[in-house]
Amino acid sequence: MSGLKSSRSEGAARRFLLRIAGIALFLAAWQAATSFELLGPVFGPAFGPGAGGRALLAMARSGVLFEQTEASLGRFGLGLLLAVVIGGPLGFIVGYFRSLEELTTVVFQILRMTSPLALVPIALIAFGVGSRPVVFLIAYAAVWPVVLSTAHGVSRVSPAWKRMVRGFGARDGSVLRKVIVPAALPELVQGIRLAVGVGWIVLVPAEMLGVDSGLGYQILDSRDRFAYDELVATILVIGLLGLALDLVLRRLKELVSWTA
Amino acid sequence: MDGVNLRARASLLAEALPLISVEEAARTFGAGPRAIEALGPVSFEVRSGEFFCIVGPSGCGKSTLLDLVAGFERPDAGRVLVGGRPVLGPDPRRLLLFQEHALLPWRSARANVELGLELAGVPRADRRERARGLLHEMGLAGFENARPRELSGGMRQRVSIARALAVDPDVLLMDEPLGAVDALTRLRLQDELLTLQRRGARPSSW
Ligand SMILES: Nc1ncnc2c1ncn2[C@@H]1O[C@H](COP(=O)(O)OP(=O)(O)OP(=O)(O)O)[C@@H](O)[C@H]1O
Ligand SMILES: [Mg+2]
Repeated sequence: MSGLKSSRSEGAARRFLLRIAGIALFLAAWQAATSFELLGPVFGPAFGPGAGGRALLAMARSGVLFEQTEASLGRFGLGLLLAVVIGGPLGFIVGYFRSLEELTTVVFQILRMTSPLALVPIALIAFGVGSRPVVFLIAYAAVWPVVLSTAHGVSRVSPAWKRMVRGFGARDGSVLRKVIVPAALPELVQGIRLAVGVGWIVLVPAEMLGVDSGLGYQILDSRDRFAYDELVATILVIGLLGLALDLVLRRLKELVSWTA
Repeated sequence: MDGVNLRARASLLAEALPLISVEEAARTFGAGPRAIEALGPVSFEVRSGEFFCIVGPSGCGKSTLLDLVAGFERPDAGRVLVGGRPVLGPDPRRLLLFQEHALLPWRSARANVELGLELAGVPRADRRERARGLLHEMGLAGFENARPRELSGGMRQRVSIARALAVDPDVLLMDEPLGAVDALTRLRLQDELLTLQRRGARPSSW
């Protein structure tokens, strides 16, 4: 038993070390590529992780980093919230009524596969310039995974459970509360996790459309100022925040999961 | 014709009446040449306190018959009466224990037992007390907080039996609830069910 346990923690330590090594290797390759200008003289040391890291610290000290991050997270959070508030209930309804699922499935699949960036002109016409079209584009990208995953979860709820609670006298409302919602909750959270992924990706290009704050804006702004170290720093922030968001959602999913 | 007399006669009648009466009930699935007669016309009566067994080969319509009595299905012909009234739908007073336990995997054993009580609007503290007592009686003391997946097949069936007993049904319909457990466990659970039955149709009087 103790042998099993220690070998398991050994495995965990090993996995951790391998991950750290993976990051170190990546940074080393990146640094080498820029120091020795392996990708051409244009991509010199200013594009390397060292310069990026130093710029990151400077941006943190000046407060620019937090301002832009706050602006981005605000738009992202609002878009995601809209996606969940609209997509969650819609997913439950679509998953609950088989015919509604058939009615909507093709249209939803087409809408899901339509890049939100294709809707930019429409978003600008409808919402004007500013944060609102950005929030709309994020919400648009994020709503489909929520709807489809939730609907899938609801349609898969075991009929045996529904029958069982009806046997105990449950009406439709109680069947929903006692069986369907808790049974489909993990798939709702899974949908939100996918939504965070796609929403975070859409955020950056959406912030390149006439807003003057946010990480997407910061990318264009550093380019215009030839501040390539700041550009790299911003890319790092976007990637790291995306990782953090996904970790949070993964934890949340483990919390609500009732399988395995 | 005074009211008191009438009520007395009604209760006398109720005692003489069978608890369950199935009269020429039949159920066919589908229509036309592809119709399946799941249950031919069948009649029988069960009185209160009786232990009534339905035996037959696989596919002969046992589950279909129990569905009719439980109210999940309606007969195409004939009648199914419980307590003198036609069965119109499921009712916690005549509970069906399924071939599969149908425990909710996200609930603990105790919360599973509490399910029927929740639906009946029993206050939380009473529910908890009652579920704990029943799990204890079923030999599951100490497993109150275990999830179904952490329990053995026989233990799961005992949780589902406790869940049924919690709502104190007049009729407990059992569709081979022990079919999926091993022979030894089945024998023991059958004994437990018989003991509960002998203690009266109201095992809640502990
Ligand atoms: N919903 C349904 N639709 C169509 N046919 C059905 C349905 N339910 C049952 N049947 C048919 O009715 C017949 C009787 O089924 P039933 O489940 O009542 O058998 P059973 O006696 O309980 O069998 P077992 O001992 O295997 O559980 C079978 O031939 C089955 O195919
Ligand atoms: Mg059967």
